[in-house]
Amino acid sequence: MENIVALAKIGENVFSEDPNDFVMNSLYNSFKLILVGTKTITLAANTTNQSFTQAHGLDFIPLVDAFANQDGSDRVFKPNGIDVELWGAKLGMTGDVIFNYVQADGTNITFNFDNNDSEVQVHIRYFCLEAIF
Amino acid sequence: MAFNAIIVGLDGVNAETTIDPNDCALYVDDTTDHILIKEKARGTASVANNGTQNIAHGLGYVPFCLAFVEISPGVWRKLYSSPIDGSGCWFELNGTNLILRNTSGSAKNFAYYIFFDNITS
Repeated sequence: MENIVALAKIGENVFSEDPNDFVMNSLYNSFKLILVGTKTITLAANTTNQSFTQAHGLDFIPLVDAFANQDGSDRVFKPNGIDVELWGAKLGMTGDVIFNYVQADGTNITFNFDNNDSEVQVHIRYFCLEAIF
Repeated sequence: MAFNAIIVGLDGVNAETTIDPNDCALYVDDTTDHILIKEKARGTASVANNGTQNIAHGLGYVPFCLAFVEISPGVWRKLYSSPIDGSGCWFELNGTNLILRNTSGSAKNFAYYIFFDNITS
């Protein structure tokens, strides 16, 4: 038997061979949040393809993810998504701010948005995990 | 501490007193499963324009996955579901494969991560 450190979920057997039965198991890598930060940006009115950068200070290209929140709203939305303000069967979905993407290179994280209404502040929380390779 | 727990606090956090899992590298108690995702496999794939690459995960259920595309040399963009305009790169999941799709206009390099964690149960 291999020597491992494992913690089973509540009610599960720590000798289980199903990885889903564990909170953690040293046989399997768990991703680490290397860096978590926030950034507030101001989107210009009625402008698409607006990019904002944030230096990550890491010596590798990190896996990144991010969440956005329009100032004064309680909604949080993801990249590749509209901040849906109204929706309905006839109306469809309407929203003025679109979080197009988040990406990273060896120096910066880049956030890209469209804004189809007046100037607005957006708060971003970003996460850098381990190296892309 | 009034409950059974194994807690590893982040730097500056007192593991003997904190009750916030957000402050901890590991937080296991007897009331809630604060699960760490568990990596099964990772890899890269080049996908031709208008192409699809199936990555068999061999799990028999739909697992949690992450995928990224090298949108330009050295720049890696996180992928989600199909872009609103239907173009670009995205990934899909089923009980057999992680499916990488590319309609960006040129071949792209993808990086993917498959975890054991079942997202359907």
